[in-house]
Amino acid sequence: MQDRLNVLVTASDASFAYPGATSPALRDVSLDLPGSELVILLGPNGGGKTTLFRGLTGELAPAAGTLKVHAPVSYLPQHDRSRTDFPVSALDVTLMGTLAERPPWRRPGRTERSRAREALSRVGLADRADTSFGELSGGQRRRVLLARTIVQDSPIVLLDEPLAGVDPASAEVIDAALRGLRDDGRLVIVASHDIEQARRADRVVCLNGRVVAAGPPGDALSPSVLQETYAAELTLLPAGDDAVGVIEHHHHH
Amino acid sequence: MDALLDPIRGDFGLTTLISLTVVGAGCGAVGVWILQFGRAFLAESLTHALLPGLVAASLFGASLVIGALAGVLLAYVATLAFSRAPKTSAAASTSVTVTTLVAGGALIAASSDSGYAAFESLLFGNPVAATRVDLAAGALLLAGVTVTLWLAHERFGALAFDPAAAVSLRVSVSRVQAVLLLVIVCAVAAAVNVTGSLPALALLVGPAIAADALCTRIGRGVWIAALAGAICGAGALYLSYYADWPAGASVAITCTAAAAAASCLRRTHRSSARTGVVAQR
Repeated sequence: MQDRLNVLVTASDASFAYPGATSPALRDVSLDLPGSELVILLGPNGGGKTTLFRGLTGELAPAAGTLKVHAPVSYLPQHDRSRTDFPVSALDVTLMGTLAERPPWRRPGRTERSRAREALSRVGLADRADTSFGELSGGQRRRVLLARTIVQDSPIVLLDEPLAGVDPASAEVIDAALRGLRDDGRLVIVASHDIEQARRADRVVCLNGRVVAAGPPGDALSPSVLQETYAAELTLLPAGDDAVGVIEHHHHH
Repeated sequence: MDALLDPIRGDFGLTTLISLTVVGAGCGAVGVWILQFGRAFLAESLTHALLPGLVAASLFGASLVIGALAGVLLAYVATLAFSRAPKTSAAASTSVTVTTLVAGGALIAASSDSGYAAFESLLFGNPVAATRVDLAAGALLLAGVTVTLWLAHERFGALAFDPAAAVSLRVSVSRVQAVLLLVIVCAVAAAVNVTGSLPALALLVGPAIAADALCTRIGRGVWIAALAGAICGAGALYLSYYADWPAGASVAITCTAAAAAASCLRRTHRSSARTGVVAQR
């Protein structure tokens, strides 16, 4: 009963299609996602991860079925779209997360600044608050954008491949910050290609134009599900009782 | 002291100095966002597209600011009409619109004996010719622009920095872009009124380039650009007086000089910083 009350996303046979497309990009999605969960969306490029994100942000309405999002959503898109030549500091970027809370005439006060500094501290960048965004490394910039998402305080957090292309140290910090968000009671949904990251999640949703499997990693990451999710893009290597998947995909950053 | 006071003595000197300084400051501040959003081509097109409205206002004795706003409306409708032609990009339809409207301005000017002089004055500027009503209307527009810039500052920044995250940050992309367009239109209308259409573009872009070269924070950049614009505007009056150059050309020269000087300063600073690192090794 408690879990039902805490459900933040409910999808029932939802299908999503882009304007002009003859067939849906993602179909038959049925999910109940509660708060305090780290969910990994796993699937090949074009499998429907970004389409589901667009549905969750309200950018794309279901063509069939229903999708109910019961709380505000914050979304961290791919980092290469933010401008490194824009003259702002890491703190300025983080403070953008508080924009929706303030009327246009009120500048960030002590409370907002303190929250922004705390968010930067959670991603290990407390000492880089005044550094220009463009002077940070790729991994640090990704962490600043995550701090901006943390400050937004939305119960649902969507992250599009937050570990792609970042250095191992930054990946570790980001991974820990995502768990911290989950422990705060938020529903954290991460689009990823990383099967190892998926193994450490609370729930995995495998997508390939539809929901191939959804559930705890132990159930959803079986060799047969992975094979069905990635089809020809995956080579399975035996590793004891489990299998290790090697994904051959071409990803652009 | 006389060297400073001489250019502003007489009936129009002080009024011209104030109007060039105020318009320079307003255009400088707006110019920062023109550069950040990549709207320099739009600003250039607007400064030219206003000409039919300006020439008509000048010939009929109406306020130039009203003429400029009517010109913008005409430009908007014409661009919309051209953009409906098959396989026509936004840039192509804007180019066709601007060319047509400049020609339209010249034709309206040719219909009257005094029209050509008015056309030339509107194209290259004659700050001394602006009436007090025009200056008051321009000042009112710029006051509105200043308040709008202050209110929209953070949303402009969020959208310019990361357009993909704007929706998630609850920033309305269409509303911010509409406000930006409105601000640019008002700044252009106020500037054209004082400097003429070609130098107005220099005021919008030159001080902003200078600020961009010198500042690492957008908020400070807007203030620096406003200050640089005010100095360029005032400097143009002195340059025009002492060098006996046309006022419009003087505005363009001071703005270009400010942009070039700031860029050189930044290059020198970077170069010396690099030398410093090498020396440490």
